[in-house]
Amino acid sequence: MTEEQMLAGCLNNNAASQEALYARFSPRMLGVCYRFAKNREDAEDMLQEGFIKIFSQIHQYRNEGALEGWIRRIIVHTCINVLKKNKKFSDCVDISHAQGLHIREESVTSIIQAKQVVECIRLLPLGYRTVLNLYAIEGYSHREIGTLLDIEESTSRSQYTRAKVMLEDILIKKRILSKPKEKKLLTAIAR
Amino acid sequence: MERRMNTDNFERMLREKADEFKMYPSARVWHSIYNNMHPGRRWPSLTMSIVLIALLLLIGYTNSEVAPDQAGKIADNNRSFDNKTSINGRSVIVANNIKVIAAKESSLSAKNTATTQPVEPIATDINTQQSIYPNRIKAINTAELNINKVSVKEHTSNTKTSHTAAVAENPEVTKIIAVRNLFDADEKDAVENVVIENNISTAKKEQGKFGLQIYAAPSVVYGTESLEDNSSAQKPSVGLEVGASMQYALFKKIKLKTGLQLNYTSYNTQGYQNPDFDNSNNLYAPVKLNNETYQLSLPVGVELKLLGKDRLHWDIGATIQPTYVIGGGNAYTIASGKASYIKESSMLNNWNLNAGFETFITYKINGLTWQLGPQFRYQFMPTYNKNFIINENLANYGVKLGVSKVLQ
Repeated sequence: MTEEQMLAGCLNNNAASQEALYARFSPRMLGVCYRFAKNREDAEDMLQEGFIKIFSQIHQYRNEGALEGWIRRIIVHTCINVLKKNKKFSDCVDISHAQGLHIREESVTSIIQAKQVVECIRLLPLGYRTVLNLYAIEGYSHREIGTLLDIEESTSRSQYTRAKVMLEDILIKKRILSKPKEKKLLTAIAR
Repeated sequence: MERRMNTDNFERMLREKADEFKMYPSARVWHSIYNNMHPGRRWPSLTMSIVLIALLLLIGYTNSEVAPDQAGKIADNNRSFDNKTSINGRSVIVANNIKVIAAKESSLSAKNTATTQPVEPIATDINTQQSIYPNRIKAINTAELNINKVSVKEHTSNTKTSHTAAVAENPEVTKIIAVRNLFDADEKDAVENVVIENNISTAKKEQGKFGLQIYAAPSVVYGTESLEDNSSAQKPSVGLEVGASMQYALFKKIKLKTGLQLNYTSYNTQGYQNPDFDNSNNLYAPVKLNNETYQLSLPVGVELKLLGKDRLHWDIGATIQPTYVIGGGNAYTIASGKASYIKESSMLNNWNLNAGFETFITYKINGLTWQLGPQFRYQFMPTYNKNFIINENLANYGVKLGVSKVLQ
């Protein structure tokens, strides 16, 4: 079934077309949800809610851009809404205690499994993880992130910086990234 | 600049790896989405189960022992009769205005001593309302009949001693055989016994406690997997369960059961070849693989009767099933890092443990008890040992049909 046929069927609430669209995009979208969720069950709940929204709002898709991109945006927004409903990003580390940043040279990447990277991302605190997912992977700007999460743009930037550092530490400790030479750069972080 | 490049490379790596990452949702996610989008079209098996249960209830109702009109008659008779006696704890309707005029000889001895007194009816058949006369009753071998001797009450009238006899236990009386006056010493040789045959209120035969059952249950098998690698997904397939069991009626509503059972489980795994191995334009080439096992189980469990009477019941049951895998085991494993599927049966867990839960309607006819209802079976331990990349616990959803017979 082509994408056009699936879309046409979904507009008519055709079950076979909906199932085909779900089968095509659900594996990757569940991967997206898994990066935001606490566990697999929560990720599946987010996916379920997301696809119900997709099928309900399929008439709003204007063929501007790829269908997968449109679906992905709805899934990400659904994940954020679920997280906001359940938790208020209160477990972020206080940025006033931030110290000098260690800027590393390009890390030597060994054979990295996608799942390993994702599992390391999930080890981050919820606030760091969410901002990193939205900025580095989903491509949202800090302003958009601030609007989505009801935080300041500067908070988003700071959280992202610390999330990245923390993630690199985790990847190195788990030997997913090789330990590079370090260049220490003294940077004052706004208190 | 260098900092930005390092940042860009790191972010690029994160994006690439995140995009490669896939997970396959369990079947319940799609079921929930489907039910939400199509609320009027619930799973057809549910509709069929409801129709089947309703049909069985209707059959049971129409075949129940006492029809409503007869039940009404019984109630009326019970209220109108003054005399009641109890036989074996059941109340017996005693007919009013039935008098026995002493006959000088017993009809069972075939003597027929006529008296000058008019012969009056000794009883009335409640069904047909026909009068029964003692000298017209033929001798009947009581051994051939299932008869209840009823107590005879003495009823004193104005002019003579007359005796009433308990006539019927319920309106289903079919025959009155003879009458004996047990209280009139002068006439005891002349009056014969009146015994009443009741086709329905016979003493219950001593029921056997053991029963034998055979059953079959087609099912759909799901794998509840947790994947270490994201390159495969399981699709449900068909399974079958057949078996025989011995049942022991521990109490009136509880039965213990055990037996032997053979299960066939099957599900399909959809694999995707790694891009490095695929020369086509598609990132992943799907591959469908079949995993199947043959299992021998020793189910041990209990059945509980919830509702019902006589022929139609509603029961529930549960079993624990130690299981041994006797065959099958098409295991597909991923070799050294990338998705290259090989068939490997040595990673089977030969011993396993399953649990079964069922609810069913039973209907008894011609000495056999038929049962039909949904069944759920869950496998506690993974099918394959820890060397296999997929840890799955199989779940079977099926419909069980069985027939059992009480062993006398």
